[in-house]
Amino acid sequence: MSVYGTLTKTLFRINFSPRRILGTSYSDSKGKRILIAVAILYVVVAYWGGFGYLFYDLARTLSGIPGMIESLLFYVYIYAIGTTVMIVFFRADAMLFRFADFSILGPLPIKARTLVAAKTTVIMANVYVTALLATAPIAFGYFAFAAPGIAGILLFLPSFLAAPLLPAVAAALLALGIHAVTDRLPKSRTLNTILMFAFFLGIMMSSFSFTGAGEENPLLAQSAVIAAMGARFWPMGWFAAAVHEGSLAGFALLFATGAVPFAGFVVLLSRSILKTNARSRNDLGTRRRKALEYRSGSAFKAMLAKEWRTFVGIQMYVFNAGFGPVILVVASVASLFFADKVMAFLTDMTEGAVIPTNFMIFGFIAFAVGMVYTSAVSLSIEGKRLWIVKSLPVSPSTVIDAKLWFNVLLGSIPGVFALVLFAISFAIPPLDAAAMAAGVLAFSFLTSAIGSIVNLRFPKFQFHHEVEVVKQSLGALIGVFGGFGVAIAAGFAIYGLGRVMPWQAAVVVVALLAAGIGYALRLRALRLAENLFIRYNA
Amino acid sequence: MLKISHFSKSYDGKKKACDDVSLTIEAGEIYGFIGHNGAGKTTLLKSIAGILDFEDGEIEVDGHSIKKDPLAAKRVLAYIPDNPDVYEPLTGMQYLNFVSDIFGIPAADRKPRIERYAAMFEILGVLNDPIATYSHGMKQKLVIISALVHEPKVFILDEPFVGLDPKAAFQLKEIFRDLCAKGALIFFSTHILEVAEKLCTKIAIIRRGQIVASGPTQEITKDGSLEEVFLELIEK
Repeated sequence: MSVYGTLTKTLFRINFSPRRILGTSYSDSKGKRILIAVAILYVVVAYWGGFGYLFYDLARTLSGIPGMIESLLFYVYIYAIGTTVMIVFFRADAMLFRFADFSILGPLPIKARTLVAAKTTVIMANVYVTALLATAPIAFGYFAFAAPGIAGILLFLPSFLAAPLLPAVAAALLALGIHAVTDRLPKSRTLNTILMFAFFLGIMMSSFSFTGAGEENPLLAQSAVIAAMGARFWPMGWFAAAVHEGSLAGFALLFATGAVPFAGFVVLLSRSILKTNARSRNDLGTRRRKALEYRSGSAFKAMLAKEWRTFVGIQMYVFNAGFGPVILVVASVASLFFADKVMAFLTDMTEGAVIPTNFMIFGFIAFAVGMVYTSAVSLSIEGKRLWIVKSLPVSPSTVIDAKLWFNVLLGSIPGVFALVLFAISFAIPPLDAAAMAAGVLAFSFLTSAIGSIVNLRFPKFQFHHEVEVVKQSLGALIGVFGGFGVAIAAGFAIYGLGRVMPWQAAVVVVALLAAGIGYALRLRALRLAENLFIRYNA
Repeated sequence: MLKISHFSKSYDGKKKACDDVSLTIEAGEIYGFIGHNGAGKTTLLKSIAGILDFEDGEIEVDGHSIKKDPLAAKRVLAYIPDNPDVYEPLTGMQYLNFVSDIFGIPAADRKPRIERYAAMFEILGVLNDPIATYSHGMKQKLVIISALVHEPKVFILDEPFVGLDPKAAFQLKEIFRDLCAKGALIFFSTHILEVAEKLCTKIAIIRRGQIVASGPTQEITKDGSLEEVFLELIEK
């Protein structure tokens, strides 16, 4: 086998084994197998079910309008390249420009272009799998109602593989450019994180800006805009032509405009990429000239402070688990000045559904707080450093409790802050706001306790980069979707109780229930910690 | 005092990484722990530090069972692993304050200790830098300082001299002697037999999970060198 083949095979084995991805193996226990299956099923049903229905419905509508069904292929293209840009932009640094195993691979007698080609293959495998999962419901809608010829069907897969190449190169260069600039500036890590957030929020706002509020199917209003984009952005048109018309010329153009820049990126930039890796990590540090501070505090406070510093010190951790608090603060502050626009944004987020203002705000805050899942991954993030807390005179329950409360603080402080500002902006009565605040606090506590149990049961201590824990672990998966699940369940409970009592009372009752369950789960997590900690390998 | 009685540990339930190990290390002793790769050294050291669970036997640290009363045992113990993996997002100072807070060392007490050891190991000037920017040796020094900040009675080290520059290695040996003079005990593993021979008051040799020799260094080596004795024992 060639060097490229051997290297790629090894990297695939390292990156895509179930143990590597989930932090556990299917064969570990029957309980784990069941939980993993339930988690995957939940995601598939929640995403493919909801999203799939919307696109199936859209495809049915578009099939009745002559010449419109092929615009679904524009959706496939846009969702595929959107996924590509997000993955490459946020992971290129850890997977390509400063990969953790450079100290192992760098000294080996492997050509720069072979090494970079193998690394990019791994990233693109990530891209293709995610893009396929994201676009499968759209493609299903298209193929269910359109009738492309055999050539089109055959060209779908190669076109799908060619489409992300150009955006991947662009996103990688953008990420490299941002790092090249910010690394030279003081507070580079913070600046970099802010730029990443700005980029992501920009994409999010622009995608919402052409969603149709109030439409029966919110995707319908997008189709005209997307069709117009397809006419102007040539690769989109080539992709649609290749599949819908079976156009070989369309495929050739798509392939050439993707493969040539991609190959050029690998061949021409491989030496520079390895130089970026070889640059001493000492250059990345920000030297502080402040006097040393000797402040003492309690062990619990020290654990909390350590959690905070670890959180802000890992960019992908902040970006993923901290996105909820950021969007809460941004949206609530913006509501003071642009209440109408924020309301339109929230309406867009609810896919145009007509919901009373109080519930929409409450739901938005719950959604954002549910995205805070540090308690579901922070034990895993200890990784090879688990020996520290295991050898120190601090009980496992204290360690887990600190991680739990850190999550509560991270979610509830911005949650209550946002609620206060929203209450001012949208004139929510104080008592209503107080009931909602109780709900936010209880929800944050309950999801944090669930996260703690998840992480204790599914720790992932073996990883090369923290992003593997933050984004690719079972803890992260269950942590985020579990939070959303609790939010939906709480919503139904409030709705149900609201039929027999005032909604404010319903919120308080559900909050008390959530707090009670959360407390019981916290006690369970602390007991689990005492039993399991010593068994973890460190 | 560190007392290990009939200690056994198996990772897979079949093969024993350590088998019926018994050792007693008194205050003031520098005890070297020698063995080939995979002999069971790290397993025993991690178990003493309360990091690894074990099936059989008992480990008492200053009279406290590491199994039954782990927090009391850990309060008088310091452990340094063979690989200094520490919290890279923190600065060196934040890490030292974190460890000091866990041990409840008042700011007034930790300050002179940190300054003394950080100056001795020449990392005082970088303590406000993120640990991510430290070299392997600097991380090793930071972990050693964090272990010394609470003045442990029992000092457990796994290959402590690996990664240290000659000056730092010399200073660590001086610290060992100083701690022992104050009544602490040192138990460390090493592959550097010359160091063990010159530094240790007692030595234990482990082979395939079992102690094959232990006692005062001079009794073990007799007229030969430790290297000769070690090779003879492990090839039996």
